[in-house]
Amino acid sequence: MSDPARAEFPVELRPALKRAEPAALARFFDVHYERVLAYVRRLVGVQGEAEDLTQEIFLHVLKGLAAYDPTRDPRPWLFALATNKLRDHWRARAAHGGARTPSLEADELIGALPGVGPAPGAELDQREQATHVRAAIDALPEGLRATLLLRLDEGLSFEEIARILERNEVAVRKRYSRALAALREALGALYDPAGGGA
Amino acid sequence: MSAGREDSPEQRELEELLRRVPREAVDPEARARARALFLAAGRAAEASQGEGPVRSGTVMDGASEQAFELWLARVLVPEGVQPEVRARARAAFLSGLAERGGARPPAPRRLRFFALALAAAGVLAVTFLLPEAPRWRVELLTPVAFEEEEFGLQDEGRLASSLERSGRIVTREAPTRLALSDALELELRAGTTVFVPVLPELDGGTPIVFELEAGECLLRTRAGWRGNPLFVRTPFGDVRATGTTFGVLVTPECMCVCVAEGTVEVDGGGRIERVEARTSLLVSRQGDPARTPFSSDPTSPERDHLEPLQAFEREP
Repeated sequence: MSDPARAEFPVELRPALKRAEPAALARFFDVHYERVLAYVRRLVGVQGEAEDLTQEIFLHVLKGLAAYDPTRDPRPWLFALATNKLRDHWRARAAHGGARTPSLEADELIGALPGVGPAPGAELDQREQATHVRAAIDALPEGLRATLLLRLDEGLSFEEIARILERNEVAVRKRYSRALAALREALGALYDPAGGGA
Repeated sequence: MSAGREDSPEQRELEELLRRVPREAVDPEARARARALFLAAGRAAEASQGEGPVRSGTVMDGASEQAFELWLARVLVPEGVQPEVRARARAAFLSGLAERGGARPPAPRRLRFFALALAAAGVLAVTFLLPEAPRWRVELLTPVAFEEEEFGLQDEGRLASSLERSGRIVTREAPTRLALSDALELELRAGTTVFVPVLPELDGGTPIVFELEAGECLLRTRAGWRGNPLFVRTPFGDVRATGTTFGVLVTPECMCVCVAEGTVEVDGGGRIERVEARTSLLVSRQGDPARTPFSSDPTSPERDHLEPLQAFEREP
């Protein structure tokens, strides 16, 4: 999960963000950096690459402030910028002959996800459980993974996710349900409806 | 959903209630967990109001899906970020503000000079006037380990930065002091292992949970403490305090909570013991918790535990 422990971006600072006032920008960064980095990291899979991309996304924010509507929560707008940056990144990688080009259109599961559950009888602490769950999320196709992350980690509405991923809302709901089902199957015995961590 | 959450008193109330649920409130990433559960509950409400997830042979039924979402929200814990990486990205972002002028149409030569000078001043201003100083202050008497990395006496600043993310700190043969400006002080006695959480906003509402795995930790809230619920989680139960000075000692056999000032609540398996000032509570795996007033007898075996706490309390 990204760092949702951080506070929301204050509504009263939205106009100042639009005007690119330094204090508002600093707060904007502090509230969102971990979240965006976690999202990007889960989609590109390489820590260093994710850090560079996240830095670029925030620089892109500065260029794109003219398009920001200060009457709205900046988070969907920011994640839309991040998602577009990821698309550009994958396109560039494809142009340089990357072995497999990831794509947010990729939402077809080819066979079942690899099982990530622990050995029978193993007792896991919450961090170990989280590691297994993260591994299962990482094995989802990018389209399902992005939908799941935006919904599960960020709590965005299907409508907001649909705008970010440039899909219709029904398709996003479908993707989300399929992602949950695939994840549930991959987790096997690790999923304990009565438990859930320390 | 997010916009609705900001505007809806009912949802705010639900979030507040979730914060008060003891189990969620005392988890290491307590606010994160509460938030995730809140969001999951919000998703369930949204799904029941709307058309709900589209179902086919490859998806779960609605109830199973909601139960699974709640489980995921409980299990997934936030991932840390290297403070150096964050600081670098932050400086680049704030410095980038000054560079935005470069994309505008060319200006007359003199104006361009002023624009460049202003941009340079802007870079300096945002870099030096808005630095993100570590919130922790660290005093080391001997080296300590944080997340298995060694920090020597010259590394207090680096350790303070590292403490912005969560991790396990292990003290050696001397105490280590951690302080949050004029809000909170911790003394980790020699041979202590404690898990320090991701530091939340000191907003008076977000819980802060230290996990004491072994050894002894003294805590004191100061005048600047905004009242965030403060917990020490141990294998024997959770110790909750607001506005107080107390010490918690953990051994493999027992836990001893000594309160110098204020009160604390010890929650061991659902049974809550309130401990008043000048009182110790001994909790072991066998038997009921034993409560004793502070002893003034210099030969008392508990003096080893009380004296550092009382010295800690007396410090200005």
